[in-house]
Amino acid sequence: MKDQTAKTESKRDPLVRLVKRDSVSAARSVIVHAAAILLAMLVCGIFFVIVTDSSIIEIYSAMVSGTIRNSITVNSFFKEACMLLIIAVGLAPAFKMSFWNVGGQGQVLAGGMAAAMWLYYLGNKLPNAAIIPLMIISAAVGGGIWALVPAIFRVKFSTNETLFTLMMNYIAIQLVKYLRITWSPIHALGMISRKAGSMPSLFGNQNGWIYVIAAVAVIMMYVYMNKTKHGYEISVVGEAPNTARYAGISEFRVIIRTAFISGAICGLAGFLYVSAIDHTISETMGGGYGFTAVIVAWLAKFNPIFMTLISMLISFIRSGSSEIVSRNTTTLDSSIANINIGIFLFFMLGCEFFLNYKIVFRGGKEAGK
Amino acid sequence: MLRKFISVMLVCAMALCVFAGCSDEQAAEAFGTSGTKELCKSGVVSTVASEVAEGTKVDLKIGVVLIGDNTETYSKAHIDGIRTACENLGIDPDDSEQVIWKMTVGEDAACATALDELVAQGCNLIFTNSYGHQTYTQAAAEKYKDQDIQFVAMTGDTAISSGLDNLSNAFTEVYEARYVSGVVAGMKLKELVDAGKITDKNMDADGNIKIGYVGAYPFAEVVSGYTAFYLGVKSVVENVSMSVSYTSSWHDSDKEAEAARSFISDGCVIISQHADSEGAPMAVQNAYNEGTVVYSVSYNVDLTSIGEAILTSATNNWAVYYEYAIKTAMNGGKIATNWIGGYEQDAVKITTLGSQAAAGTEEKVNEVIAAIKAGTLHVFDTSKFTVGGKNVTWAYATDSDGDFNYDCNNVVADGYYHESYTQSAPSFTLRIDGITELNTGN
Repeated sequence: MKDQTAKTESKRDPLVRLVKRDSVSAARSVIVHAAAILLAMLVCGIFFVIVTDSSIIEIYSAMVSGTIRNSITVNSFFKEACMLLIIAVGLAPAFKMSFWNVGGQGQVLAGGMAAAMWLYYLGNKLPNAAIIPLMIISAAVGGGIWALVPAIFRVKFSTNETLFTLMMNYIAIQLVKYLRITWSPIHALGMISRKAGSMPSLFGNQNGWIYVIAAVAVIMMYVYMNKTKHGYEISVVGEAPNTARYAGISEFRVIIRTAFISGAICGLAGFLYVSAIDHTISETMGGGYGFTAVIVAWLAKFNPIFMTLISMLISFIRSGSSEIVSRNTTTLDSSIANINIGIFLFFMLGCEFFLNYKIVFRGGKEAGK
Repeated sequence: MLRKFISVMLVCAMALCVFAGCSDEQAAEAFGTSGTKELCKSGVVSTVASEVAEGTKVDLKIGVVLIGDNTETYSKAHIDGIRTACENLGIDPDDSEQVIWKMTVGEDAACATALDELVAQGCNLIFTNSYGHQTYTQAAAEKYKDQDIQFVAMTGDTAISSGLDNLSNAFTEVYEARYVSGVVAGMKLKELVDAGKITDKNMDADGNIKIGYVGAYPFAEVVSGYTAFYLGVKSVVENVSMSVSYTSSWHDSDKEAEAARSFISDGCVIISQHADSEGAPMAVQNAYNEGTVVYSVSYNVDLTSIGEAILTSATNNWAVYYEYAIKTAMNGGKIATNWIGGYEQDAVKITTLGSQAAAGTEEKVNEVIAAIKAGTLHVFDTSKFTVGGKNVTWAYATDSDGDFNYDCNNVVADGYYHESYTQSAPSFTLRIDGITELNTGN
C-alpha cells in the first residue's frame, strides 16, 4: 500500500535526505570536532573497559601518566608526533594541489633506502660528518623521485595519481625487503650499522634533531604555502585548474615541482628513520605513518597548527595505549594502539561528513546552514 | 625559487655536518679495531646454574621482549620457561608490577621501542628472545649503561665483543638434543630399511637415503642444529644424505609447509626443521595419511598430537637458565656474560617419543644421553665428518670485531669441535659433506 501511495505522490520527500551546507561557521566546526573527539574517547574508553576490566577514569589517567612518566616516555611521545608531522607536512602541498599523493609510505621508504645505501657502502669508511649530508641529499632525491614518477604520468598521460602513488608504495616495500637482506650484516635482521651515519644528539637529547627538523619543516611549509608565489600557484592549480591555465600558470611545472617537494620531505622522514631511529631499513619502517599522515594532512585541511595538534593526539593515543598494554601484558598486545588510532580517525573523519552535510528528515527545513 | 630551495637544503646539510662531527670518535671506538688474533677477547663460558652470585637483594621488575606469543612454538617455550622460573622464585608472572611482557615484537625498530618502554617502566632485568633482537638489545644496554639494568640477548653472540657489563648472552646446548633427535630418526630409518620400505625414490644417485631439513636462516644457530641432527642420524644409518631448504623467516607456516612438501615429493623419508611453526610437521602428517613413507622430527614443543608421523621434537628447557638469571639478579649479582647448559644441566631434551618410533629407540636414546653427559660422546667428533673430503683440524669460532665473521679462537681440539665454547651461542658454521643447501636463505 505504501508503495502505491509513494508512486502516486511522486513529489513526496524521502524519509531522510542529505543537503550540502553552503558554509560552516567556525563555532560549529569547533563544536562538531570537540564532540567527535569526546565520542572517540568514550568509545576507546569503553573498548578498554571491556578488555581490561578497569574504569574509564583509570584508563585515561593511566594513558596520561604513561605518556608523561619520565623523560624516556615524553621523548618517545614527541618523537612519534614529530615523525608523523613531518610526513604530513610533506604530503600537504600535494593535497592542496588536488594531487592525491597516497604514496607517503613509499616515499619514506625510498628516502630511507637512499640514505641507508651510504651506511652499507661507506659506513665506517667515511666520517659521519661526510656521510650524513650524503644521506640527507639522497634521501630527499629518492623520496622526490618516488613522487615524481606518478606526477609525470599524471601530467603527460592523465593517469590516476591516487592509484599510481599507491602502487609505488608496494614497489618500495618489495625493494626494501630485497635490499635489507643484502645490506644487513645478519640477513635482514637487526641494524645495518649502529654508529655509522647516526644522527648526533642535540642539547643532550637523542631526538633533538628530529624536533628541530619538524619545527623547521612546519614553519617553512607554512611560509611556502601562504606567503610565496609557489604556494599561490599550488592553490590555484588545486582549486581551479581552468583559472590556472587562463592565468598562464604552467600546470605541468607546478605539479612536477610540488610533487617532488612533497616526496622529498617524505624522503627526509625516511632519512630520519634510518639515521636517528631505526639504523636500518625495513618494510615496517615508520609503522605505516606514511598512510596515517594522509589522514592527518587531510583532516587538518593542511593547516600546520592543526596538523601539529592531530599528530600529538595520535602520538598520545599510541603512548597511552602502550601503557595500558604494559599493565595487562598477558591479555593484550601492541596492536591495541592501532585499533584506538583507528577509532579516533573514524570519528574525526566521520564528523567531516556532518560538517559538510545536513541531514534533513521528511518535513524538515531544507536550507542548511 | 627551486634553486633557492636547493641552496637552503644544502646549507642545512652543511650545518648538520658540523654537528655530525662529534660522533666520529665513538664510531672509531666501536668499529675501528681490526680483527687480529691478539685483540681477541677470549670468552669463558660458564655453566654455573647452581652457583648464584650474592649481593644485596634488589626489587626486581622483569621485562620480556618476545618475537612471538603463545601461538608460536619458539616463544611459547620461552614464555613457559620464564613462567616456571618465576613461580619457583615466588614471582607472579601475571602481575605487571613484577613482569612486563612485550609480545610479537619484530626484529626491527619495534624492538628498540619496546626496550625503551620497558626501561621507562622501571624494569631492571630485560630479556629479548630472538637472535635478530640483539643489535637493539646491545644499543639499549649502551644507552642505559649508567642505570642499574641487566640486559640479556637470548641466543645472541655479541655480549663479549660489545665489552658492555650490563649485556649478557645465553643459549642452551640444544645441538645435543638435535643429535639425540637425529638418533631417533636414524633408528626409524634403520627399521624402514630392514622392513624393505625404502625404495629407489628415497635414494640419491650415490645410494644414500634422502632426508630433508627446513631451516630458517643460514646462521650458525641453524647450521649447528642441522649438522648435529644429521650426525645423529648418521650415527645409526651410515648411508644418508640431507638437503636443507631455508625459508628466510623464523615463523612462516606456508613456506615451511611448502619446503616440506617439496622434500616429500623428492622422496625424503625424514623431515626435520629449525623453524617455529607447525607447517612442516602438518605437511608430513598429511603425506603420511596418504600413504607416503615419511616422518617428522620437530622443534620446540611436543607435536605428537598432530599424528603418528611425528617421532619427537628437540627442545630447550629454558626454565633452567631463566631461574638462574632471575635469581642472580634478585640477589644483586651479575648474570654470567655467556651462559650455556645442555643435557648435564637438564637444559635440553627431546619430547615424548611418538607411537611410530622404532623399537629400542628409548634404550638407544638413554644410552646416547648418558654418553653425552659422561663426555665420552662428542656431537661434533671430527672423525665422524669431513669438509671437502678432509677432516677438520682447525676452525675459528669468535668474531672479535662485530663483523659477523670469525677471526680468532680455534675450537678444534681433542678430536672434536668444541661448540658453544667461547660464547654461548652456537658457532658451528662448517658445511660438512653429505649435507646440501638448496638455497642461500636470501
